[in-house]
Amino acid sequence: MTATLAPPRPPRAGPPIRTRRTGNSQWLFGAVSAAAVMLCAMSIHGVVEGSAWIWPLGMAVGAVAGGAALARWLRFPTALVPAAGLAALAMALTLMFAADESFLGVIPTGGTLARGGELLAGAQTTVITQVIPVVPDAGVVFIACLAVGLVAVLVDTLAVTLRMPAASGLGLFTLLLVPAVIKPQSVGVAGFTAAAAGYLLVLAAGTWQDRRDRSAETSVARPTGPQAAGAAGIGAAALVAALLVSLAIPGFTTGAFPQGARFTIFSGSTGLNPVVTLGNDLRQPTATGRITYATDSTRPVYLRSTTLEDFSGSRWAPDPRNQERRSGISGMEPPEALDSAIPTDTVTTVVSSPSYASPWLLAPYAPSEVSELSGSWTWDPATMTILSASGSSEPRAGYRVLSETPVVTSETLSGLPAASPDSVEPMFTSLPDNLPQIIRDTAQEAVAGAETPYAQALALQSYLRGAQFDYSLEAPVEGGYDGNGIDVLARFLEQRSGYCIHFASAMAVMAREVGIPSRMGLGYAPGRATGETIESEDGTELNEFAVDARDAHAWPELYFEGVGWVRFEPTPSRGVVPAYAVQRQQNAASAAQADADPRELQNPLPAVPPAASPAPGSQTEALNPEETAGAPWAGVGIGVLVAAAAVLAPWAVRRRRSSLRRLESTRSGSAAPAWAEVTDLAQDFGYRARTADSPRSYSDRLAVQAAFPPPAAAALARLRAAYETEAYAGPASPDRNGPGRNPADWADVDTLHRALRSSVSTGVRLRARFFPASFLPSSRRQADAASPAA
Amino acid sequence: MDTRNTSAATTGFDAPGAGAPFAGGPAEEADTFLASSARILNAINTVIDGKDEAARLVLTVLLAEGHVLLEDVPGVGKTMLAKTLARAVDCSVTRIQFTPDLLPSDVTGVSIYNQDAHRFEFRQGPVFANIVIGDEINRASAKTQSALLECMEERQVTVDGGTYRLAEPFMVVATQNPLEMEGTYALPEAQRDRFMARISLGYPDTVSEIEMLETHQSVSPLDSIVPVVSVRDIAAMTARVRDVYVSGAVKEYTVAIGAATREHPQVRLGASPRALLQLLRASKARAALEGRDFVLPDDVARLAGSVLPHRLILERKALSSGETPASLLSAILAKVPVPRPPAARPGLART
Repeated sequence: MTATLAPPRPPRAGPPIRTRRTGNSQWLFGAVSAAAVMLCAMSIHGVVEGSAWIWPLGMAVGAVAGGAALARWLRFPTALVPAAGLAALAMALTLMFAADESFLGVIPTGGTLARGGELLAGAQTTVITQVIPVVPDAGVVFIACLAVGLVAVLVDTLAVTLRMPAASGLGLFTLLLVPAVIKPQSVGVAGFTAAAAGYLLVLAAGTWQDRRDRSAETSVARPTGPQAAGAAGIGAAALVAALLVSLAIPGFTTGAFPQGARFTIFSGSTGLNPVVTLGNDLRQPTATGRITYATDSTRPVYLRSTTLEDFSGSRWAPDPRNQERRSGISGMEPPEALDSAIPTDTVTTVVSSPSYASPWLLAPYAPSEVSELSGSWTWDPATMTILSASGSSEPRAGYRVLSETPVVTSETLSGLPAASPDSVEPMFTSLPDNLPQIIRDTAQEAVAGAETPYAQALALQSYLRGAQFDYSLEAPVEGGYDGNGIDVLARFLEQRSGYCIHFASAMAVMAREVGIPSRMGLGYAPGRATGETIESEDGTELNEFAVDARDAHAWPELYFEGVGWVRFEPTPSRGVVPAYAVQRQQNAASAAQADADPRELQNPLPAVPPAASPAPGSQTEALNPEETAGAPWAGVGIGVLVAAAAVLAPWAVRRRRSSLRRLESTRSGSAAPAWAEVTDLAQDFGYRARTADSPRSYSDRLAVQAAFPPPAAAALARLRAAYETEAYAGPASPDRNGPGRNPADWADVDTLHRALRSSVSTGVRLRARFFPASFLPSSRRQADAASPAA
Repeated sequence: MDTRNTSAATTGFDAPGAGAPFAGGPAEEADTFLASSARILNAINTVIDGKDEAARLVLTVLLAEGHVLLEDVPGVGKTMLAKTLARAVDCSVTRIQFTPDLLPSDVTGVSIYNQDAHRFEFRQGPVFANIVIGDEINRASAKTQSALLECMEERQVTVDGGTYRLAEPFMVVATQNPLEMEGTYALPEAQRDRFMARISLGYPDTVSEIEMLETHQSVSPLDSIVPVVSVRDIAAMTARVRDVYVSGAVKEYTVAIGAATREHPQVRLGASPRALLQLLRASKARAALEGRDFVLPDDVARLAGSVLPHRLILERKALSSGETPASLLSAILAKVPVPRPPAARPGLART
């Protein structure tokens, strides 16, 4: 590629001519490519939560650009420049993510790789279990840094090292691919504009460089202003066109990867076991699976789909109880357990769930009549769940549910005695034998002092709603206890962080532990008012509410003798605590929380749901790696790096100078850089030049002292003659410009380098490499030379 | 020829043509130049054994249009060298044996009254020749010396109101014995300054001396010398020397050497501007003799040892501590940095 971009040069013997950006401009181009990558990476915003991931990402990209630029500056072979970028990336990642598992904070070791594997696995879990925006935990940030860093290597290699700025769009495109596939809004205008700006930046830099090269070689300076303006105009026009076209086309709303679809195997909320997907539903960032319901209820309505009552297999599971189910949902009897003495409110609810696909029918508790619904349905008098007889899980357009909501007050409940074991089926009371001790202990601890079942239930609820528990969708995933098993419950009680399924199952299990029959209700917490009203058949106005996947909820229902199944709300910040479940001792804040439906106050499309609050520690760990355990090692590592840089600086500077001379010499055939290199090399190897040395006197002495073999001596003589001609001959001399011109050949320098190296001891060789005498300023060297001329 | 080449390698002289080859017309010219100079040196070498350096210096001075002072003890071949050079060039040669009673008119010539024509006629003295060998110049009186030195500088003779131009080329090869010898008059500084170079022959080495004993047994080898170049050849060579290029860096270097001699604490009288001019001229001749058309700092440094010392006057203290002008000049040359041409300065190299 370089050969085609650069003008042809006269063929010349010796090593291949390497043309690369020189001077300070290549740093600029490295920075430009890094900036372009970062601009494109901005479109990740929305895929990863928040903006704290920008700094680690910037560090990774900056490290890549810096490493590659350094390598170019040191004039590494072209093939090694990307390797240097990769090495810098590895070091940056090590520093940020595995400083304590590395050698001196920056050198990756086996432990670093293991840590990387853990982080990758964690990121995999995150990707599987979370939907965007994912929490920027260590794994996600790590994988983002890794991926963007690799893209940065690619872009840098294409745009700067290989000087194919147009092709670097390939790398930038891959960055846009991720949000394009995952984000429901796709890349978005801002992201696309940023990416396009970055790409244009790279192209502009490349064009500028090409023009500069060309004008430098042809000595023809061309006007840049009109061209730049034209290019900017074309770029802006293309950008606008692309944006308009993307607005015009419909986009991907269906297919294998519809926008906003989660690329996980658990996608969707169908199936007989909704628990599996409950967490995933909760983590939905957007209003997928929107369900609207209009109700005349004065209390918040929980749409109930099913219940989980079977805990015998050490895991909550729904029991279809097909034998007990009855068909016909036009006139359902009241729940078996409901005492006729308990008054009920009749509530009309019109539910429309066009995207909710489940064999379970959503209905407020306790449905008595369902109309305007096709298909055959069965219902269970014990759980009052409605199941499609055919197992069909088609979405339903709109059906009317009449439900009899028991009016339960704390006074009703407070006097009730403990339920007799025979009043409910054993399924609602059974606990596995291997129930972990922590559950038993916690339950007893929580209910200590509470005499009645109601007091115990309140105690359990307030225990779970206490300050020591917090709501987190991610903590169970990261902690590896996401699910609804018995061991998960134990872990939850240890970690005290989880979401509704954990709180609900914990309360249900602990209630059984203290002797209260329990089950778990699944469905949707009360949604947000849409402001619309629907007029019912009898003329009353029904207020419309909307819920979506993020309102998916689980709650415990406890059985009280004579009242029946009563809902509680142990999950902090979710759902609505029923009035009867509000403890009188609870503080005002809790009471206020109980009375007000928190979701009412929220924007229908909250940008950042509280569910997405990061798990404690994870974010800080990811973003402030230096404050973690690796900090001292990182400091040592940086110190060692700086020291190593200082130690290697003479070598690096010397090497760069040599490369620049080689380039200049091969480009122009000039003997001066070749001769300067030879004299520097000779000084490096200990053949000191004197102040009064002329090229000839020095080379004569050098040839004798170093005992050059004939080829090296001849090379030295050739170079010296070429240099003398160049330095001292007249402008009209045939030696200088005419046919007698004898351009310097860098191969002679290499020959002399080998001869010099073989003329000295190993120690001198090492000194020449790592502390070359010619690294010092020449004036200093000349001051050192004292002995008179021979 | 072989002898010359071998000695050239050891004395630091490049064999002619070691530099870049010439091309076209200039190349032929250069070849002619080199061939002519080689013939002259060869001729000298057949007579004077082992004095290649001195022979080249004499030729250098000839081509640089200067005059040379051969100084050494008697019997080392000073006169022989001068004679050989004169013989090798097909030109007019005169020899003046300087004695204390030699008069200026013995050098320049006299006006004699021609009774037939009733007027004075100028009879040219021995100075009217291309090469004038002034033997033992320090044995003559200062007055006579001055007469010769005036001719050297002016290249003309003024007698009785008439001015007579001297021949071209004109070169004085003066020999003198070291000052400590009896019956000599040291040349004044101003007059020493007119000699481009002072050459000390020194004793020949053993091999050369044995060879000399053999070849000089019966017949003088001088008799076998035939002229190898013509006056016109010399003129062409001189013209070529004038065209040799001197870069700014070399000029700087020359001036720096001159300044260093003037500023040296042990030197009472340093190199004059005329000395530097002659140094540069001699350097050009040397460059041409080596086949180059440009002067190297090495040319200057090498010739400074022959061109400058006889002009330096040291402080008494330096003399008493055993310093000589030559040793001081060596020290100076070891300190004056060789200026690098702008293109070769590190840091200024652009890509």
